[in-house]
Amino acid sequence: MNRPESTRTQDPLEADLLVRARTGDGEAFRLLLEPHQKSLCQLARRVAGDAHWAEDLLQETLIRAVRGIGGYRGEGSFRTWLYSILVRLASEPKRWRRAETPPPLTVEVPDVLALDPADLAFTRELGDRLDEAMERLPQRQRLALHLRAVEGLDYDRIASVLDCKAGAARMLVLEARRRVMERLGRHLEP
Amino acid sequence: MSNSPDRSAPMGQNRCELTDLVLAHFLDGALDDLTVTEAEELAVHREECDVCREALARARRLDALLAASVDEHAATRRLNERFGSLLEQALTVEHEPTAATTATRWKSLARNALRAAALVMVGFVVSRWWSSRVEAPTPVPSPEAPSVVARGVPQPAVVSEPAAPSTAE
Repeated sequence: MNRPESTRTQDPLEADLLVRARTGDGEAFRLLLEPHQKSLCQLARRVAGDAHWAEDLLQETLIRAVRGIGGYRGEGSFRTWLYSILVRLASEPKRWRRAETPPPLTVEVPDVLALDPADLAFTRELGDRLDEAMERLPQRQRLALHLRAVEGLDYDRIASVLDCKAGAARMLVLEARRRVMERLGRHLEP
Repeated sequence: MSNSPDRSAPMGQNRCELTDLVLAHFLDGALDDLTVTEAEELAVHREECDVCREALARARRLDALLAASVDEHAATRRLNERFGSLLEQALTVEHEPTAATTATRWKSLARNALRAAALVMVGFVVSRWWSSRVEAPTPVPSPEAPSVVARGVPQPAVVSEPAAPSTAE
């Protein structure tokens, strides 16, 4: 399988920052992470669901990244490497959950949405329904759909993050989409 | 052939066997292995099939909603605000074990201690067994050694063989 991820990092700035970060240069590490901050936060939130658990997951991901930067050889993109750490951790919540309390059920989804799409309440309800539908998905499907729809990763990269074949990543995305579209029903119609 | 969705049926019940291909190709751009002809046929199908066309439109809306909603979520905003301090902590605790890793280390230590204890026990049992074999060897009857005679048990009389006649006589 030809994966674009198998090529070495070409960005000279990133390569320079990597060299510095490996020697323990914290500032280089900050600069290296800066472009990926937003997407890491989004992914952690989508995976963990609860805000506190998302913070725990992000914290542990950053710690692992700092510790593991010496082992990252620039094969595959830095972003994919970061996502892989987060995804691996996500499957082992005992390793990062510090908050003991279970996440409160914050999503209350009404059966019927408001009729006017322009209404702010409709948008909020749609967002809640979308969150609820995503949280009902198995974790790998949720991750795959998030990586595809929000991050715009292709199947090869999704496969790289989820440690599976591209065909399996495609099935995960398609199945997740199908389930969420079913859950949202006619409210997805333009 | 054009498929017409049945709007009275629940969502997701209108199926076309090519919908997944249409989504993968036109939404995800993931079917590089399609030939030009196959891609053209799929494009024609998309135009003609109501199920696929509608699924594509809804999937596009879903992806757009997902991308838009994730930014607006309060938890994501909070994480973004906390990112700097989380990273700072990660950099400072680089060489300090976290609670999770400490727990893992204790578990690993306990496992190793149990393994060592099991090995010691096995070694002890084996050494005891071996030493018992060495201390109590199987008795080998010796003509010189007195035979063990149980008390009160009559022993058969020992009959000495007559001496062989001397050839000198």
